[in-house]
Amino acid sequence: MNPETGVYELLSTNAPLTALVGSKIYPVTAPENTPTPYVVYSQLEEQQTLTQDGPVPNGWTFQVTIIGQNNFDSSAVARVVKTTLNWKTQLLDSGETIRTVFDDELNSSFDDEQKYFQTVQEYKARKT
Amino acid sequence: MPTAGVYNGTDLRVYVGGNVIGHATSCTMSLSMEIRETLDKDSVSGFAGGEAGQRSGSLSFEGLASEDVTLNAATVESIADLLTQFNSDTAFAWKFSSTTTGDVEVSGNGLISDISISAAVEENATLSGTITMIGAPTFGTVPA
Repeated sequence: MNPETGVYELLSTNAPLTALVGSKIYPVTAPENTPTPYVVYSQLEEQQTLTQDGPVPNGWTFQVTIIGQNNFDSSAVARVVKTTLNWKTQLLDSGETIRTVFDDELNSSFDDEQKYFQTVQEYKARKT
Repeated sequence: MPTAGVYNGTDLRVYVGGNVIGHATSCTMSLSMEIRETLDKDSVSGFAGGEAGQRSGSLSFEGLASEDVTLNAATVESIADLLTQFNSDTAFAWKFSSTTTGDVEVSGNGLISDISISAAVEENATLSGTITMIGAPTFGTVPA
């Protein structure tokens, strides 16, 4: 398991969230014509610190996009996603544990072409 | 054969008791000498003269705070090792050099005169410190 799948584990095993979106939690992009609401997550960056003994991991940045038919839908799911990922820990297969922390949110911009509302959130994750 | 061209800073390390400081991100060796001013009424045009005075030196280091004692199959000084050295009144052997035969190697004894550990929320914990040289250092080269 890598940090990206750790984020997926946190999202997909959270009952309040799956009650809203079911299993519609996708990495990077959602299948075409997926009914709203749904969640797309992706890893944006992986940071490292260079030391004289080599690079040391310094965390990851994730983006979670919540798609809803209207502003109410996307905001409601976004609040649950935030509760699910903010300051939460997840054990990875490697034996290491990561902690995810909410960082930023862009509220419910409207996509003219797709005709949906979206909320874009950014999270940081790092080994505890 | 010594390093050709400019040193890569990654290769110059501070050794404490024979081991490098683990996860170091930078290190600095500073040497200084006080000049005894010899200004007197016979000084030419009022310019001060000078004689060699007291020499002193220190090594400072910065890095990530870690309990690791082995990195890249080599024994390294962990944060615990450095705190033990700080808590000791006995000077330890230090060395500032690369591992390339023929490169400059400065060595001597010293004491850790300050050490700081910084821990910010959701960031790598860092450490920094200073080794004050005790006695005269030896200026040599990395042996084969």
